[in-house]
Amino acid sequence: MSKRQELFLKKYKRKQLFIKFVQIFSAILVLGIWEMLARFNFIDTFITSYPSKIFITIVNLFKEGNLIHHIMVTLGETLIAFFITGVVSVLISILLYRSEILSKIIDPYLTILNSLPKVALGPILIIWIGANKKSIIVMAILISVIVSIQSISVGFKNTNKSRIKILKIFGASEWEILKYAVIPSNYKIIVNACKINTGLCLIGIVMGEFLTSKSGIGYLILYGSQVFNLDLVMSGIVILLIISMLLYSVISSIEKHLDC
Amino acid sequence: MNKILSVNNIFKSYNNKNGEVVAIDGLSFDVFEGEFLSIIGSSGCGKSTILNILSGLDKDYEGSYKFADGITPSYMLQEDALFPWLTVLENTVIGLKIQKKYNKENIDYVKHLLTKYGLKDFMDTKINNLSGGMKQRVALIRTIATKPNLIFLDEPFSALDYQTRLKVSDDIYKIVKEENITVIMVTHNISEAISVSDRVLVLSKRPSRVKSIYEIQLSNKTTPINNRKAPEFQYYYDKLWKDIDE
Ligand SMILES: Nc1ncnc2c1ncn2[C@@H]1O[C@H](COP(=O)(O)OP(=O)(O)OP(=O)(O)O)[C@@H](O)[C@H]1O
Ligand SMILES: [Mg+2]
Repeated sequence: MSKRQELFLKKYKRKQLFIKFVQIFSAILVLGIWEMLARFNFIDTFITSYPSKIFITIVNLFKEGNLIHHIMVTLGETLIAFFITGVVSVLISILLYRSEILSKIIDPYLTILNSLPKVALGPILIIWIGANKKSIIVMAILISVIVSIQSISVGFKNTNKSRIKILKIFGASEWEILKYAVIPSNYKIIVNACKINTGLCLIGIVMGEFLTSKSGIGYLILYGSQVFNLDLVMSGIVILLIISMLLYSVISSIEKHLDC
Repeated sequence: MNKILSVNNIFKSYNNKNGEVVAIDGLSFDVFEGEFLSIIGSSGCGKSTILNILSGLDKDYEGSYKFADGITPSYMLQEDALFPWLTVLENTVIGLKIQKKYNKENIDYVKHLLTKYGLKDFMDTKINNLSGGMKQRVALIRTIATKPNLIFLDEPFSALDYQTRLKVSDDIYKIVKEENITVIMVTHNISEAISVSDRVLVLSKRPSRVKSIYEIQLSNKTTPINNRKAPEFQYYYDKLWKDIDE
């Protein structure tokens, strides 16, 4: 290894270390200040809660035995919504790719539907589907599926024309063109859409749980606010943060594994 | 010599809402077994369009063409259009997979071609790690992997610098001669056309039809690079140059 390369690697490592350090340090700092302000009665802990109390609340919820259940409910609903969104948006994107006319016809509707705040559909969902899990999952799917369709179908449409031509020269069928060119050249876009979908599905599920539920983290937060237990509300939020971090890291590792 | 393709009075126009472009009007010519035929013409005169029609990609034209029995054409596009997520070997066998000829014998044939033409150590490499000349060779091997007896080459060397271009045109010439393949090559490079071809077909400006056809007869014809040194080279060059320019 040359001197310059060594120097470069040293600088590079130092920079990476610095970034990690600041990230962790700033989180600790904020939590520390929050904790101190609470301890010395600068803020009203009834309204703001504070880190150690949140931690204790979470531990207690665990011990009482129903936190795992709530987490599982929310996580399960999120995953179901996530998979349905993924499958549906890839299938619809394929359909739109195959039919240019259909794609042109529904394009304005997609855009309009996309900008509609889906939470407004909540009451309708509850009346149509019922005050149950299904409504919650449908809500999450509605929130994520349209953006997902839009980004994947744009990717499909922009598939390199020459590569498709090559396959046609060899006599490929429509299905083979999808399999050999359209889908593989859009792996990145599909994975990226999935990344966004995890977040959107979680948002949708919590929103749904606000509207109607007897369990789940959204329910926990809503319940906490109704009985004015801010410790419970804050704990719910922290748990959601952890869940979304978890989902994100799973997708990221899948992305790395795919190497695209 | 056997006629393997006859093109009869082809007409082609591109129509869109901004108007009509007539690309080809009254194009006719014949192709004979084993020859290297170059089609030359100015940029935008309709060369790629001709190959798109003959290869069956474009079915929206008038007139007709006919291959002799048993002719299986293949086509190497103007742009290499390789699949960057696949390895060199996977790229070259894609036609075999589609045509359900993906068996040991044909895979071995492709490996043999890759080895013969200097890509042995790169079979499992991803496309983006190759040089321009290597990519061109991969694209050619993909084109001939299905054992066509006629291939269409659209500006196969246009993306390359001058040195590489000479080298790769030598390579490709060698490949098609050794594999016994008839070639129709489109180019707008006059020297290239003379150095590789048995015949050169000059197209008119758009809409294109055949303006003239030259039999290239060089004394001691060998490889394209050597052919450039033939005494008749300059003669053909001047004639073609004038012909295209008019
Ligand atoms: N899809 C298309 N829609 C409309 N016009 C087209 C289309 N493809 C080609 N043309 C027009 O038809 C004419 C012939 O195009 P073509 O690509 O066959 O030219 P070419 O001889 O291959 O040119 P070059 O040497 O630059 O590759 C051009 O004027 C071009 O603008
Ligand atoms: Mg062209």
